[in-house]
Amino acid sequence: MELTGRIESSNAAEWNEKITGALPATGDLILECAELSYISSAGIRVIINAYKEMKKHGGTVILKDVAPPVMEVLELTGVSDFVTIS
Amino acid sequence: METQRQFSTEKLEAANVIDYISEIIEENGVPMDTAVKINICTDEIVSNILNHSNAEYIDVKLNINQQDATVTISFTDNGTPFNPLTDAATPDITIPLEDREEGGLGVFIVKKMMKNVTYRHQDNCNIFTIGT
Repeated sequence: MELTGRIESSNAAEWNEKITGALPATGDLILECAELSYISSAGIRVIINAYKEMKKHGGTVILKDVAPPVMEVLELTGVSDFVTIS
Repeated sequence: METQRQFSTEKLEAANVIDYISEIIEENGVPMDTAVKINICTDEIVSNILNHSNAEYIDVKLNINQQDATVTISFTDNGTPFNPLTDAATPDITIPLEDREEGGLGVFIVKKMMKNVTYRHQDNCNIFTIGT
Protein backbone atom coordinates (compact mmCIF):
# COMPACT_ATOMS: atom_id res chain seq x y z
CA MET A 1 0.00 0.00 0.00
CA GLU A 2 1.24 3.49 -0.84
CA LEU A 3 1.11 6.43 1.59
CA THR A 4 1.03 9.85 -0.08
CA GLY A 5 0.91 13.54 0.80
CA ARG A 6 0.70 14.30 4.48
CA ILE A 7 -0.94 12.33 7.27
CA GLU A 8 -2.20 14.70 9.95
CA SER A 9 -5.19 15.29 12.21
CA SER A 10 -7.49 16.33 9.37
CA ASN A 11 -7.13 13.09 7.39
CA ALA A 12 -5.78 10.51 9.87
CA ALA A 13 -9.17 8.81 10.36
CA GLU A 14 -9.46 8.34 6.61
CA TRP A 15 -5.95 6.84 6.40
CA ASN A 16 -6.65 4.63 9.39
CA GLU A 17 -9.71 3.22 7.65
CA LYS A 18 -7.80 2.65 4.37
CA ILE A 19 -4.92 0.88 6.08
CA THR A 20 -7.13 -1.18 8.38
CA GLY A 21 -9.06 -2.34 5.32
CA ALA A 22 -5.85 -3.38 3.60
CA LEU A 23 -4.23 -5.39 6.41
CA PRO A 24 -2.94 -8.73 5.09
CA ALA A 25 -4.23 -11.85 6.85
CA THR A 26 -0.72 -13.31 6.87
CA GLY A 27 2.78 -11.92 6.51
CA ASP A 28 3.68 -8.26 7.01
CA LEU A 29 2.07 -4.97 6.08
CA ILE A 30 4.28 -3.09 3.63
CA LEU A 31 3.75 0.67 3.41
CA GLU A 32 5.49 2.46 0.55
CA CYS A 33 6.38 5.96 1.82
CA ALA A 34 8.34 7.55 -1.05
CA GLU A 35 5.51 10.04 -1.75
CA LEU A 36 4.73 10.73 1.91
CA SER A 37 5.77 14.33 2.73
CA TYR A 38 5.36 14.24 6.50
CA ILE A 39 3.31 12.84 9.35
CA SER A 40 2.24 14.38 12.63
CA SER A 41 1.35 12.51 15.81
CA ALA A 42 -2.05 11.73 14.24
CA GLY A 43 -0.18 9.81 11.53
CA ILE A 44 1.97 8.10 14.13
CA ARG A 45 -1.19 6.83 15.83
CA VAL A 46 -2.32 5.36 12.48
CA ILE A 47 0.97 3.47 12.17
CA ILE A 48 0.82 2.29 15.79
CA ASN A 49 -2.74 1.02 15.27
CA ALA A 50 -1.66 -0.91 12.18
CA TYR A 51 1.33 -2.32 14.08
CA LYS A 52 -0.89 -3.49 16.94
CA GLU A 53 -3.20 -5.28 14.51
CA MET A 54 -0.30 -6.91 12.65
CA LYS A 55 1.33 -7.99 15.90
CA LYS A 56 -1.80 -9.96 16.84
CA HIS A 57 -1.15 -12.24 13.85
CA GLY A 58 2.60 -12.44 14.26
CA GLY A 59 3.30 -9.90 11.53
CA THR A 60 4.84 -6.45 11.56
CA VAL A 61 4.77 -3.17 9.67
CA ILE A 62 7.46 -2.44 7.08
CA LEU A 63 7.95 1.16 5.97
CA LYS A 64 9.80 1.53 2.67
CA ASP A 65 11.57 4.56 1.17
CA VAL A 66 10.97 6.84 4.14
CA ALA A 67 11.77 10.53 3.50
CA PRO A 68 13.83 12.46 6.10
CA PRO A 69 10.93 14.51 7.57
CA VAL A 70 8.92 11.32 8.14
CA MET A 71 11.96 9.55 9.57
CA GLU A 72 12.52 12.37 12.03
CA VAL A 73 9.03 11.96 13.50
CA LEU A 74 9.38 8.15 13.59
CA GLU A 75 12.62 8.55 15.54
CA LEU A 76 11.36 11.28 17.88
CA THR A 77 8.41 9.14 18.90
CA GLY A 78 10.40 5.91 19.25
CA VAL A 79 8.33 4.20 16.55
CA SER A 80 11.41 3.55 14.43
CA ASP A 81 12.68 1.19 17.14
CA PHE A 82 9.77 -1.19 16.62
CA VAL A 83 8.62 -1.09 13.00
CA THR A 84 10.89 -2.26 10.18
CA ILE A 85 12.32 0.49 7.99
CA SER A 86 13.84 -0.49 4.67
CA MET B 1 7.29 40.61 8.13
CA GLU B 2 4.35 40.08 10.40
CA THR B 3 0.83 38.95 9.64
CA GLN B 4 -2.18 37.85 11.63
CA ARG B 5 -5.45 36.06 10.97
CA GLN B 6 -8.33 34.93 13.13
CA PHE B 7 -10.00 31.58 12.47
CA SER B 8 -13.43 30.70 13.83
CA THR B 9 -13.26 27.15 15.21
CA GLU B 10 -16.62 26.31 13.66
CA LYS B 11 -15.95 23.71 10.94
CA LEU B 12 -12.22 24.49 11.20
CA GLU B 13 -9.66 21.77 10.47
CA ALA B 14 -6.00 22.07 11.40
CA ALA B 15 -5.25 21.69 7.67
CA ASN B 16 -6.87 25.10 7.02
CA VAL B 17 -4.39 26.78 9.37
CA ILE B 18 -1.48 24.75 8.00
CA ASP B 19 -2.34 25.84 4.44
CA TYR B 20 -2.51 29.51 5.50
CA ILE B 21 0.85 29.39 7.28
CA SER B 22 2.66 27.30 4.69
CA GLU B 23 1.70 29.64 1.86
CA ILE B 24 3.18 32.63 3.70
CA ILE B 25 6.37 30.93 4.77
CA GLU B 26 6.92 29.56 1.26
CA GLU B 27 6.51 33.06 -0.22
CA ASN B 28 9.07 34.37 2.25
CA GLY B 29 11.82 31.90 1.48
CA VAL B 30 11.76 29.83 4.65
CA PRO B 31 13.76 26.60 4.05
CA MET B 32 11.72 23.49 3.28
CA ASP B 33 12.90 21.50 6.32
CA THR B 34 11.86 24.34 8.62
CA ALA B 35 8.53 24.67 6.81
CA VAL B 36 7.77 20.98 7.32
CA LYS B 37 8.49 21.22 11.04
CA ILE B 38 6.19 24.23 11.31
CA ASN B 39 3.42 22.33 9.50
CA ILE B 40 3.74 19.36 11.86
CA CYS B 41 3.76 21.58 14.97
CA THR B 42 0.80 23.61 13.68
CA ASP B 43 -1.16 20.38 13.27
CA GLU B 44 -0.35 19.36 16.84
CA ILE B 45 -1.23 22.72 18.38
CA VAL B 46 -4.39 23.47 16.39
CA SER B 47 -5.80 19.94 16.69
CA ASN B 48 -5.26 20.07 20.47
CA ILE B 49 -7.17 23.36 20.65
CA LEU B 50 -9.99 22.02 18.45
CA ASN B 51 -10.28 18.73 20.34
CA HIS B 52 -9.89 19.90 23.92
CA SER B 53 -10.34 23.62 24.53
CA ASN B 54 -13.88 24.52 23.41
CA ALA B 55 -12.44 27.76 22.02
CA GLU B 56 -14.54 29.90 19.69
CA TYR B 57 -11.60 31.24 17.77
CA ILE B 58 -7.87 30.88 17.19
CA ASP B 59 -5.76 33.92 16.40
CA VAL B 60 -2.60 33.07 14.46
CA LYS B 61 0.16 35.65 14.49
CA LEU B 62 3.13 34.91 12.26
CA ASN B 63 6.46 36.69 12.28
CA ILE B 64 9.26 35.94 9.85
CA ASN B 65 12.70 37.43 10.39
CA GLN B 66 13.82 37.83 6.79
CA GLN B 67 17.48 38.24 7.72
CA ASP B 68 17.88 34.78 9.18
CA ALA B 69 14.59 33.16 7.97
CA THR B 70 13.53 32.28 11.52
CA VAL B 71 9.82 32.04 12.20
CA THR B 72 7.79 32.79 15.31
CA ILE B 73 4.11 31.86 15.48
CA SER B 74 1.69 32.50 18.32
CA PHE B 75 -1.62 30.70 18.62
CA THR B 76 -4.14 32.49 20.84
CA ASP B 77 -7.43 30.83 21.75
CA ASN B 78 -10.22 31.74 24.15
CA GLY B 79 -10.80 28.19 25.35
CA THR B 80 -10.29 26.36 28.62
CA PRO B 81 -6.99 27.32 30.27
CA PHE B 82 -4.42 24.64 29.51
CA ASN B 83 -0.66 24.86 29.74
CA PRO B 84 0.64 22.14 27.42
CA LEU B 85 4.15 22.56 28.77
CA THR B 86 3.18 21.54 32.29
CA ASP B 87 -0.25 19.90 32.01
CA ALA B 88 0.37 17.43 29.15
CA ALA B 89 1.67 13.97 30.05
CA THR B 90 5.18 13.14 28.84
CA PRO B 91 5.04 9.94 26.79
CA ASP B 92 7.51 7.12 27.35
CA ILE B 93 8.77 6.48 23.83
CA THR B 94 10.65 3.36 24.88
CA ILE B 95 7.44 1.41 25.58
CA PRO B 96 6.69 -1.23 22.90
CA LEU B 97 4.06 0.07 20.47
CA GLU B 98 1.57 -2.67 21.37
CA ASP B 99 1.54 -1.48 24.99
CA ARG B 100 1.22 2.24 24.29
CA GLU B 101 -1.75 4.37 25.25
CA GLU B 102 -2.88 7.19 22.98
CA GLY B 103 -2.06 10.80 23.75
CA GLY B 104 0.80 13.04 24.76
CA LEU B 105 2.84 12.69 21.59
CA GLY B 106 1.75 15.98 20.01
CA VAL B 107 3.14 18.39 22.60
CA PHE B 108 6.21 16.18 22.92
CA ILE B 109 6.90 16.54 19.17
CA VAL B 110 6.45 20.33 19.32
CA LYS B 111 8.92 20.63 22.21
CA LYS B 112 11.48 18.52 20.36
CA MET B 113 11.12 20.24 16.97
CA MET B 114 11.00 23.91 17.95
CA LYS B 115 13.86 25.92 19.46
CA ASN B 116 11.52 28.06 21.54
CA VAL B 117 8.17 27.06 23.00
CA THR B 118 6.32 29.25 25.50
CA TYR B 119 2.87 29.40 27.05
CA ARG B 120 1.08 32.13 28.92
CA HIS B 121 -2.50 32.77 29.97
CA GLN B 122 -3.56 36.35 29.47
CA ASP B 123 -6.92 38.15 29.16
CA ASN B 124 -8.72 34.80 29.47
CA CYS B 125 -6.79 33.38 26.52
CA ASN B 126 -4.22 30.64 26.06
CA ILE B 127 -1.22 31.97 24.15
CA PHE B 128 1.10 29.29 22.85
CA THR B 129 4.15 30.50 20.93
CA ILE B 130 6.67 28.51 18.92
CA GLY B 131 9.90 29.66 17.34
CA THR B 132 12.38 28.06 14.94
